[in-house]
Amino acid sequence: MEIKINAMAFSYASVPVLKGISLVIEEPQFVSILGPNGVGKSTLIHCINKILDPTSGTVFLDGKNVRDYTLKEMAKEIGYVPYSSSDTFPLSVVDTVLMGRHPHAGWKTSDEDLEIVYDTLTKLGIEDLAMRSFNELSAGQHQKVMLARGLVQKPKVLLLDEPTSNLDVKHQLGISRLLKKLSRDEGILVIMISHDLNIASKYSDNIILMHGGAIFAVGTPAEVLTRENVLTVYGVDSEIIDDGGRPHLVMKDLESDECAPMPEGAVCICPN
Amino acid sequence: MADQVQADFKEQYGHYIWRKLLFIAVFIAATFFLFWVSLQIGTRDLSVAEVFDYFIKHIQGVTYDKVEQRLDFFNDNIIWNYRVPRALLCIVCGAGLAIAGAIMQSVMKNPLADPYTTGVSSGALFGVAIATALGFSIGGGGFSDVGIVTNAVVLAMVPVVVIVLFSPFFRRSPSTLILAGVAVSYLFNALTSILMVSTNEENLSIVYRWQVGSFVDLSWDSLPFMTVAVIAGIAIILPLSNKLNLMSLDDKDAKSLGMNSERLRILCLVVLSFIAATIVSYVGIVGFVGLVIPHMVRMVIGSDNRYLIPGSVALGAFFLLACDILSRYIDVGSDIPVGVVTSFVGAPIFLYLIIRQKSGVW
Repeated sequence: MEIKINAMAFSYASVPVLKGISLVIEEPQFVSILGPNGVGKSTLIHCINKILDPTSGTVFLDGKNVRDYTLKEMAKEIGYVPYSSSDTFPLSVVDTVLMGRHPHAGWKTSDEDLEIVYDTLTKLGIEDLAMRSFNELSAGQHQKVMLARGLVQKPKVLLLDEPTSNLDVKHQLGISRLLKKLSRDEGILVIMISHDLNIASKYSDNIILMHGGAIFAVGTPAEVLTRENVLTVYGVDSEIIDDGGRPHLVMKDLESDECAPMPEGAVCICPN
Repeated sequence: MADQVQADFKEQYGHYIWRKLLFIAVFIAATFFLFWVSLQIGTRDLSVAEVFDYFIKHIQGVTYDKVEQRLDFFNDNIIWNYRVPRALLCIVCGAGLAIAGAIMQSVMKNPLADPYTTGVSSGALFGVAIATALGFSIGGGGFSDVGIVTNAVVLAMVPVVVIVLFSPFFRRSPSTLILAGVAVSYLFNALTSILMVSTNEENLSIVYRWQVGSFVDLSWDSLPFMTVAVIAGIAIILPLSNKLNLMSLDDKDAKSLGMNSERLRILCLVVLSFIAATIVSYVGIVGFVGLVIPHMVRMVIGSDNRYLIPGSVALGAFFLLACDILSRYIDVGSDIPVGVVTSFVGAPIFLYLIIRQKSGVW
């Protein structure tokens, strides 16, 4: 599987969001897209899976222009896990995940669809939630269900929009590990948008760092996550610690350090 | 072992689907039962056996002489020309309003959407008022059945066009859409009121009857067009019901699953407006059914549109027929409008369901 983006630009009405994006991603791996809020990360992945149409430039998927894919064909190639999903009219977990079979299936749910759904839920360790209603779940469970929906599309590429936001530390690590495993065991090219530099550094094979609607740096975590890059892109100073060959960032906040010391009597204790 | 677990899971899912089908089947059966009950009720006291006998005989083609078999002729006429069409009208109208509400809620991703809250019914009513009070109709039919229906359908489409054109602005918040619908319906209601104050007493009472929704004065002639509209609507929507599930997602999500919501949304809106407008043009505005029946169904069998749509059809038909029976049972002569009964019966039931509901359906 190969994604090739050629001099792509995208504007909402007259507001340019992305400009001059050229990128080649090959082979199953785990890629993270980093960058500040509003830099165009989501727009970029939406241009890859045909949700948005680039204003100029082209996107190729395995050598074929994405414009020549129908929406249904595209949904078989690329799975998408959104940042959040509306639950105005929640369905059961099975039925929610079954929606991911839409590009493959017809009106009736086949035995095969059910088997695929069950296997995927088992793989994510949430088969016991199958009959629960989607809106009764916790944030971490929500995320896994949405991930399951993307996986039952049986895609070759999986795009995720901040899959680890809203999750506690354990679940952040769990989901990230799972994504990495998927890229290895299932041969899926996993591309995730993230705001957590250290999670991205710990698990990603490659990182795309964006700045001002363009790609600022691409490469391995060690190549991309340098003090200078982070300072330029986020305006945040940091100290880089080596964590088994991968950079770990400790953020600095001089303004906070300069604040007055803790007010006296500001106590928060548990008596006895 | 793993196969066994998977088989258990499939069986569990099978039960879960079976329960939904059972719900639908029960209410279809109950509607058939009520149909017979409904034939018993009226000023003329006839036993169950008598009604059944007359009904079967009529189907077999037995006719009575007006002079020689005066009583039989009279009874047959009452059953066949008054009670049967009225019961069928209730079934068609209840099913149509409920399906229109169910579709609208899914399409708009909004639990408050129904033909009434989105202005479709008010548009249709204004069309009826124009035909009645001014004798003007868009097709040129004047104050006739065809004229009223064309007026109602065309004006019911006005809010739909507004919704479709402005939907990019509504995407951020589904409530905006309902607010816009309420605004449009106020506008239409004001226009209807202007027509009503400026018309004569006779027309006034005609328009008023439409405003509250009534089955009085309806006969076999009202049935064909409405039935065709409702059945065509069901036939179009049912095969699309799995796509309606995707439509209640964000448009972007739906697209990533291989579906273009925009086109389907317009199709669904046109279909449901047509159903709602046709019903309003014959029966008038029967509130509550379109909004509440789909929610009652959701509470019991969930929001999967593949079962919600047929479930709403069954429960809607059952509910409206039951309300009509109740209104005639209370007092046959006084003609309590069926819209009044639906609200009186439906509102408490619905409030009870909302309070009892532990897990949120919305």
